[in-house]
Amino acid sequence: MRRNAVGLLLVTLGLLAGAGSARAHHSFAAEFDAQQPVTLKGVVVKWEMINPHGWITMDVSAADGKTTRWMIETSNPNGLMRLGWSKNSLKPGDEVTVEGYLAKDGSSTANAARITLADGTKVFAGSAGTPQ
Amino acid sequence: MKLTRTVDWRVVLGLGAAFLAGTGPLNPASAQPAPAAPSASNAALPRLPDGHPDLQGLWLKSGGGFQGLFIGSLEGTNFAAGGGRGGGPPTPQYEYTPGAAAERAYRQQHGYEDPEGRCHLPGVPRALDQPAGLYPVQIVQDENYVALLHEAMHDVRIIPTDNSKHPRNYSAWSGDSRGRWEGDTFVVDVSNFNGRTWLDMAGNFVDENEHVLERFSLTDPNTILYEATVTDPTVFVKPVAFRFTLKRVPAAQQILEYSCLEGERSRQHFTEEDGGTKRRVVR
Amino acid sequence: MSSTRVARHAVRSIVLAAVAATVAFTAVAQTAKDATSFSPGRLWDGKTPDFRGIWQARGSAYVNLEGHPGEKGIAASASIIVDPPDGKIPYRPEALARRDENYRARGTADPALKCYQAGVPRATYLGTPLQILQSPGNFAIAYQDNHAFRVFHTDDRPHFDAADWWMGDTRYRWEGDTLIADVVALTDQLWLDQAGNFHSTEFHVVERYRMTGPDALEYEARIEDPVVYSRPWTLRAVLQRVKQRGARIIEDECLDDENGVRHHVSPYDPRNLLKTDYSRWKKP
Repeated sequence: MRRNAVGLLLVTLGLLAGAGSARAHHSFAAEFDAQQPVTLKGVVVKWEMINPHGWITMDVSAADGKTTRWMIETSNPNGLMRLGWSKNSLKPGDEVTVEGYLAKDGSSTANAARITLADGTKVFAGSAGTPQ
Repeated sequence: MKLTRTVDWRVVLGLGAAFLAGTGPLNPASAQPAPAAPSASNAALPRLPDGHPDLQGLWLKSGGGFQGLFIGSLEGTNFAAGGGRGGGPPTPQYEYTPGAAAERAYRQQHGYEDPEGRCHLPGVPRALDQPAGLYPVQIVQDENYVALLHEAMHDVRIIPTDNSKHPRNYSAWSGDSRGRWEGDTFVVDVSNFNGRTWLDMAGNFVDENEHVLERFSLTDPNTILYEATVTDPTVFVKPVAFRFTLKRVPAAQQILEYSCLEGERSRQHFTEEDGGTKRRVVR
Repeated sequence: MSSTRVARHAVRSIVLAAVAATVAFTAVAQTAKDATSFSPGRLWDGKTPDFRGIWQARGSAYVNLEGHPGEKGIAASASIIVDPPDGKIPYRPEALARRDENYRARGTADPALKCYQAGVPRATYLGTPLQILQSPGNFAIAYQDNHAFRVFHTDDRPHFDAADWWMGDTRYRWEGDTLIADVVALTDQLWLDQAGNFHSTEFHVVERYRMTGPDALEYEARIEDPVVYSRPWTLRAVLQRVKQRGARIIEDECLDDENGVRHHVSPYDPRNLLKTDYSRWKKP
């Protein structure tokens, strides 16, 4: 049952991404660079389920021990909420890995295409236009 | 497994059951008795005491087979059955006047100027013409008005049915709406637009001369057929027709809040080539 | 026998006085009862109280719930806080310090300045009207301010509080002719007025809506937030029906000026209208 629930979640989100039906009131391309993928592994500081995009604040530690705070943009949270996500789905201290695309302006900002939780669950959370 | 705890399978099954049972506080069939219908063919439609079809409920634009994130869609799209992409609604045909055609081409290249991207109201018919399956609209109706409460941009359109006239010296993002019933069709005349809205993200647009005639028809208790004719003599050579259906959302769902201005943080990152203030940086 | 006559007279006087007092008391009681037990009209189901219409608070509590002496052409207001009796919000000491900081920064820090929605309960006592939309089984309020709206859901289902919202999540029931609404899921970014009164995400409001006359809607909000306040408190405002023929909630959108400052621009304001300039496509 548990595995099926996750399966439904992923299929649902995947269909959403594939259908291109998620509204981007702005385009992915205006903010992010599809040619600059990034993988960030870090710790959640804050998870904000706000519109038009959710935002995860996360601290990423580099090999040299330096920590950078990243802002990760997710898709519109109303759809996520209807699938059972809440503001408690990601808690401060949770370890996550974010695969996404860098913001074009050089800031520590990325669009999350995929989020992997500490237990290995993969969740697609990107906005319309996010490459698969 | 945090996510599986928050995905409640009982909700999923409940949605389907609620839909099948037709129960829930927002289902008009449970709200008031239906008086005698005027003809046999639409005798099954729920009606208000004034005899008009009851358009109330939570509705979602249908995109053909895929119903987006509303599980338990009324078109029978469910993931177990493999879903269906189906055909979407017909694409509107735009025929621009020469001056407007150049303006449209410009906007198509400057999508970041879309005021909806700055959280402005989408206008008419764009507020209803949502990407299928995403943001529903709640309809509340009595003998004096039909009110549309849109999840997207928390847009509100209260349409009076009191034979009143459009105001003068009034220009608004959503224009001014006056409704009337023609038989079982709710017809809305919308004018007094302020010329600021786009029709979509691709640069199709209208100016202050926009006028819309809408028709809402409850074709069955769970389907509203929406048709709109947009005329704008300075922009279009001939009227533009919109046509799509809205499907009733299971009663267990509710409209959610979409507060755009309050949470908008993306535009600060737009680079100059996309209308922003930031320099492009390649890392 | 004069003492008996005097006694009878005295008894009669006492009885008359008692009767008069009873009549007077009854009359007073009846008047008080009328004021507090106005029976509103019903929707077409014959039972749901009919609160439909356009309503607007009078007064300027929106400036400062605790009262203020008036400023810049805005009339003074007494506190609309009815409990505690001193009319002050019972802040915890550290929260009071933060409120005072907010107050000092109110010229720039008030979320309403950015055209953000006013939230609950602030949206109720703004200077702009609201419209109550009802049909059997449906209750919603459309606020003119920033075109905010709230759909009230019957309380047979638990709150949907997955996120912190600006207009909260509302579950309601009827108790007689009073609508009681339970509101949670309000963001801590909200202010309660222009004076910097605020709350945390633990904020919880129980609203009571009751018509006290054909054109008067009494609004009471019982507020608690253990993070910010040392005890619950209550505010009360009366909304008046807007009766002008053809009165409507009008569209309320903001436009940015050249400095990026947002302003509410009415549809009746010619600046709202933007005439598309096609001349830029004319070749010289």
